[in-house]
Amino acid sequence: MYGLEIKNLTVDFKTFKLDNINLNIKKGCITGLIGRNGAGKSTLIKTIMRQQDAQSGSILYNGKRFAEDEEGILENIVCVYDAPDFSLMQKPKNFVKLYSAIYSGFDIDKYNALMEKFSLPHDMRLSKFSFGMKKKYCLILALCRKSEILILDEPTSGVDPFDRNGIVSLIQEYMMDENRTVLFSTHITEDLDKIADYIVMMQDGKITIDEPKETLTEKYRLVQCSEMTPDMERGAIGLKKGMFGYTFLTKDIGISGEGVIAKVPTVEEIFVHLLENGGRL
Amino acid sequence: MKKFFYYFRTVSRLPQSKSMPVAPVISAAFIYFISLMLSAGNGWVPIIAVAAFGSGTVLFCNRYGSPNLEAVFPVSHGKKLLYRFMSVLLMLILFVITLLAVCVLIILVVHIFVPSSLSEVGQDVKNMFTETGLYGGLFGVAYFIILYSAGMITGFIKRRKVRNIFLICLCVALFLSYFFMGLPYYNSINNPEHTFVGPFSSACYAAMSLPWLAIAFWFVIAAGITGAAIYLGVKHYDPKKF
Repeated sequence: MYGLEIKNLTVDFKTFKLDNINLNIKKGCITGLIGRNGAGKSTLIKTIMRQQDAQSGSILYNGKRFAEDEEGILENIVCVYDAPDFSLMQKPKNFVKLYSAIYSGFDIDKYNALMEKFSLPHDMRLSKFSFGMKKKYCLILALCRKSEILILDEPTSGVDPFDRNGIVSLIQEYMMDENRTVLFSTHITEDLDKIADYIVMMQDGKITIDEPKETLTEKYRLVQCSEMTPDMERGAIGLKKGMFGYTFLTKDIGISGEGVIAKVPTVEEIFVHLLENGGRL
Repeated sequence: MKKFFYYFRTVSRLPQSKSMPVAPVISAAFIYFISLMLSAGNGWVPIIAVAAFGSGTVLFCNRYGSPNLEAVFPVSHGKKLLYRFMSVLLMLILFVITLLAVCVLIILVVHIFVPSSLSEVGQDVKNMFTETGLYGGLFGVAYFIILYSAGMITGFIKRRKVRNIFLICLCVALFLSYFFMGLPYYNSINNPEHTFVGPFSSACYAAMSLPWLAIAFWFVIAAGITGAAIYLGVKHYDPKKF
């Protein structure tokens, strides 16, 4: 049922704390993770990937604790970080030999096909790759592994729009197997609008929203109006005053009136207005 | 065994942070000089000492940044700890082999111009082994284990402040050891008839009434510091923790 179950997880740095995180990432679904810079998204991801120690709590990977099947879980979970986690002083053609030897079930044919699709050279040192090329390369390595849990930390930032579409399609293709789980952290909320099934929002080390995307977006309306009424003010979330009027989020999905334009908000619009409201809905 | 070599290749190629921590470098320099003093001027001892300390430090100190492929290398925690110790040993062996190869090359080149140099070097190596003796050799083993484990501990400690405190304690301990082991042969410094000897030489133990006790003391320290290295390794991202 759940690819990842995070229970009461606390990671305490002196200046920042991931505080009692409870989160279940469903199998067969793409869960989008959003939040401001410094909200704790990367810390959460690093803790899931055992790159960061936690003070308390537990994480279950496909129902198993890490200590029950360390090798199996490490084979089965893959993460694309915002920076490569391997040396860049190598060429892809040499690095892939080591990488495919470490992780069983690595699909070398798929690897070659994806390298061609994204026009990445096999014979150029990885340090000479551009930022976007490095991102694509890391993603290719991740997608060619035989894994059931895929975690992506800003996988499309720095990637050109054409290839971003390609990456998003690849993630959808990865999810054709319903036993798989994807956790996708990004600032590019358009990608979440396209493919996410669940939205998780983090703020100051805590989870503020954890809902299906359709429910979340259908629960609210983004309203633009030239004048505010007292009723509107009471129900407004993240009220913003601009040159041409007011913009706010509201739970009143039947809201109407003269000069009032109401529409289904995007994930980004919910995110922005939520933060405007101090993280409360 | 194959997996170990993949692990070694992975960890030796992990990205290094651009800024090199200063404290391990200063500590390595200090270890060089204190080893030179302890060995009474023998050139090989400080090099091996720095190599033992440096292997663990270089392999893990700067490369424990996050994220890194080593943390998610698909082996169990116990095996990974074993691979860590073996990786440092392999790094040290490779370093010593490279050093020996370079020295042999230099000696062969020098031999072309100074034909007697080869036999002189051979005699020097022979003298080094005969002068060391059993106790000197055992001290060398304990000293090596201490520095090897200290290098591993330096690599395990992620916080700069804690690492610096550990290195300061290590340097102070080595400095004190110089006096501890130097006391039996203190007379030799003042008496010009005796040659200057250090704890790597059998002559140092000839002056002691219980030389085995001194050696046992060093092995207790070595066991303690190795135990600390193992403990830190076991606690490092303990799989049972969460």
